[in-house]
Amino acid sequence: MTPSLPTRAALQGLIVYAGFALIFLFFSAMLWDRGFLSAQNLTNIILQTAPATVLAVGLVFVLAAGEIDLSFGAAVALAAIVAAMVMRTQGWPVGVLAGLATGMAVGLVNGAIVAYARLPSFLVTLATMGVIAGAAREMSGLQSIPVTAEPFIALFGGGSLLGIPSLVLWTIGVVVVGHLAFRETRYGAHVLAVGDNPRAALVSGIRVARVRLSVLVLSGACAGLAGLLYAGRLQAARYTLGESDLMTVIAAVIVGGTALNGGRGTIPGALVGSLMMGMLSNGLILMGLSVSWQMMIKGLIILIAVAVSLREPNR
Amino acid sequence: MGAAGTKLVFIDNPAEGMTVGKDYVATVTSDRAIIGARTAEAMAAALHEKGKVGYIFHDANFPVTNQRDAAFLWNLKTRFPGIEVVAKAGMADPARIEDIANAMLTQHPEINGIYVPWTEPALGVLSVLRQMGRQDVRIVSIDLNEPAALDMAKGGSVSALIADDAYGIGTAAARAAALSLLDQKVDPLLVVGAGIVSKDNLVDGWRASLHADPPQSVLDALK
Repeated sequence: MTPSLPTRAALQGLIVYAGFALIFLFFSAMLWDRGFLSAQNLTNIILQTAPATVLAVGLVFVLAAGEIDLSFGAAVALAAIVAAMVMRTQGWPVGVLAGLATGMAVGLVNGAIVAYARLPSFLVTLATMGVIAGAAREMSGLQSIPVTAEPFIALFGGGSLLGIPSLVLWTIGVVVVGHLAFRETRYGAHVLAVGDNPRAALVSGIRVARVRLSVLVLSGACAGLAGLLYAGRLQAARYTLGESDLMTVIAAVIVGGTALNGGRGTIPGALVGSLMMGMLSNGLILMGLSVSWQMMIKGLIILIAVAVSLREPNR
Repeated sequence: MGAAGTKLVFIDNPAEGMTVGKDYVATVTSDRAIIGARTAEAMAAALHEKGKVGYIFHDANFPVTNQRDAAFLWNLKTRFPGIEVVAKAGMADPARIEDIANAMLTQHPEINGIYVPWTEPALGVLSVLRQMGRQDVRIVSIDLNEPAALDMAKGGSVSALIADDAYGIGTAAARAAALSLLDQKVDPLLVVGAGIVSKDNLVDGWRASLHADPPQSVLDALK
């Protein structure tokens, strides 16, 4: 590591905030009379991005450790379906545990293969993505499974505490815990060290394989939680949940300032990146653009944002 | 394929470039015009023929949904002058439906009925209505699914689901293939009907469409 890296990382961290502010100002100017700035709309953006933000927190750990997880979107669907099916007969607390356990089991399989069989995580999770998506389709018979347990819906979906929606509370909770674990604990330092230089990390006594395993389990756990949040919000589980989150979340994390090749990551950046993605979708729809134009503009803005935030100095 | 003696029957859309009678026997589909008409009638009933409607259409080249969407709009406009379509939005990815519904209701809070092209995205609209506490907005959509039927059974936001004779599609396809194997003449386009399923006829409507009982959760909710 060069001594100047912290300031560069700090600068890079600022880019996402600048981008966020820029897009916010643009939509505020364009849509000031079309509902963009209403409290309801801004709350909607946070509610809509809650599962993606939770997924982004998990992905920061994975990318910072120099790995990737492509299977989290499929794991979201499987976890939601398992939770919804278990809940029907065993009650909602068991359903919650089953959903989280499903996500973590996916992460454990991914992690074990990556850490101990030393296969590239890109290929491993690409393959398990297919297996998990297939399992979700098979288990649900391609049908939507209703979720009716009121306490579950309140806790993971439409409820609120002291006027704050539970989806917002989950987002804040996961971001704060994730940030503290990433920045303030030895574990977080180990993750970064493994991503920055695995050989050096190994020499300095870090259990590299265990760190690799753990980040993928963490990502799986986040997928499990995201699945519960979807199931709570929609009051249903379906095999298509999480499908479209893969690209959005990866883009959010990268735009936020986490390095695709390990050694650098930021959870507040991922949060802002995720909100930025949500704001982009929201604003483009409010502008009344057709789906085709929305896709093109969104793609271009992501490209610009990634290009700016990935222009790393002499790595 | 037709030359090899294999009899091909399409459901909904024939493959492009294939000729009926030569490459394949027939196409079996639900009547999209009827579905659109029934959906408009269900919307009119839900709003007592007076209200403001948000129209969400399938923004992709897919004849089945495109024709249903168009038929709904045309029926609504020509038959129910008391109902005004105040917002239109295209949907390509059902996963984005919540964003679309949020935007629609933010910009047009006066909406009291929403048309959704099929039930999977309807669940997203339902979720948005719950988040906003908009119990006054009615949803009308197409196809049966358990969570939407459950909401309807509980007297929620879903007013009606239009269900085609799904079982009949299978029967007609099998019959067409069999007749063709016996060298009988087969009508190249076989069309089945559709009906409105609402809370009042949920059990019968489900049975008529799928030849099966509704899921237990729906039956329990109706008790």
